[in-house]
Parts: sequence; C-alpha cells; structure tokens
Amino acid sequence: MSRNAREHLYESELLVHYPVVYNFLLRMTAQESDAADLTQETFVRAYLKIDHYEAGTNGRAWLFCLARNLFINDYRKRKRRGEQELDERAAYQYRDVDSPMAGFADLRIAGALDRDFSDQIMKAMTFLSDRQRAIVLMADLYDFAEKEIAEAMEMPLNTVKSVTRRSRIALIKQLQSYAESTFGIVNTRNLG
Amino acid sequence: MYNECNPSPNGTPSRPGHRLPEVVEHQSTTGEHDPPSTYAETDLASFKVFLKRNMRNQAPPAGLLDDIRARIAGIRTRK
Repeated sequence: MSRNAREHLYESELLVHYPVVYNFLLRMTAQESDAADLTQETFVRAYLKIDHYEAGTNGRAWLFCLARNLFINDYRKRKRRGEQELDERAAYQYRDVDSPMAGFADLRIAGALDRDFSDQIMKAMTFLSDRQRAIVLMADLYDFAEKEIAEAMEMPLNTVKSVTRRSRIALIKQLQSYAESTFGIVNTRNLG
Repeated sequence: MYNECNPSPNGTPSRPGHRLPEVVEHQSTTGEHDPPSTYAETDLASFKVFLKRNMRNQAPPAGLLDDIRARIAGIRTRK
C-alpha cells in the first residue's frame, strides 16, 4: 500500500471513529483524562498497525479491539481496581432460564423507564467485570452484532452470547434494586 | 393490582390507602398468547433505547483530535 493510500485509509475509515472510541473508553475508565490518553494511544497503535487492517471492513470493531486490549493490558496493570468485580461464577447466579430480559420487562411495564437512571447505570456498570462491561457497551450502546463483538473481544461466539446474557441480567438486577428502593416499584420476579 | 401487604421498600412508613405501583403481566390484545420471543425482542429493543438515553455520548476533549494528529505527524517524521 502506498503512503498516500495508507494515510487516506487511516483518515477515512479509522480516525473518523475517534469520538465513539473516546466514549467507549470513558465508560470503561470513568475518567475523562484517562479515556483521552487511551484514545490517543489507540489511534497511534492503529496507525502503526494499519497494514493489519483490511480496507472496507469494520474499522470500528477493529479499533474497539485495539482499545480494549490497551485498556486491559496496559491501563489495568497500572491501576489495580479497588472495587470488587463481579466474577463469572457470581454472574451465573443471575441467569434466568425463561428470558434474560424478564426483569427489564418489569421496569418497562411499571413505567419506570422515563426516570433518570444515568448515575445508577454508571454505578451498576462498576459491578460488572471489565469484560462484561465492554460487551454490554458494544452490544447495547453501540449496536455491535455478536460476530463483531467476538472479533473485538477475541472471544468465541458462544462465549460472547452467554456473557452478554449474564451481563444484561446482572445490570438489570442492579437497576431493579434501585427502582424498588427509590421509586417503590415492587418486583414480583426473582432473578437470582 | 396493588400491593397491600408489602411494607414500604425504602423503610419509610406506608400511608394508609397509599398504593405502591406494582408490575402487571402483559395482557394480549388479541386474546391469544403472543409468542415469548416477541416480548424478548421488545424488551431488548427497549433496553437498548433505555441505555442510550441514559448514557449519552459526550463530546471528546477539544484538543484530542489535534493531539492524535500531532502524535501521528511525529511518527511520520521519525520514519
């Protein structure tokens, strides 16, 4: 690839995604300055590795893969988390054999969704592991297909499906507790 | 449907006659049972809208794009 073609590819298919990469990293780090630093590193790495990117494919998923690797391999090693992360075995308790969305249906039917949950969602996200949080963000905030998530997370498709399901249930369970204690919305189901 | 027996979940005393909102089951308008997958799809779509509304994208810091371009220019110069 010529230098001009490489520069054009970088600008048109990769750099255009910098706002969404920044926001993804902001949700992962919860720190604006850390998210900005990691975004810079992600795009430097993208430039250096651009020969590994195939033009016309999914630039956003490729960038999320780089960003996720930087976050887990570099950022997490530097900053050990103080809080307890939800472990996969604990998350398994949140399974719901009928429908992973049953708990959310309760909130929807009870009319709780018009309320402001923004702070509570951020708090609930901290109870998810890094992997779970990244997958929920990609699946539900950025509308990645499961196959794209599998590529970005470098995980088998079936694992992505099960982690997505458990992560949603864990998140909804946190939000249900909040809805019950704050708005008095009584949940009649038992997810866990 | 209302909840007479449940005490106030946040510990505050319930007022007499005060009805707590409670979840009601979906009633089919056709009189038939809708397929379960329909509920699941509706709920997933609502869940995504709910997350997007509560997790709006923030504008990146003003100088971020310039910083990235400066880093790339530095790499080009060194090559």
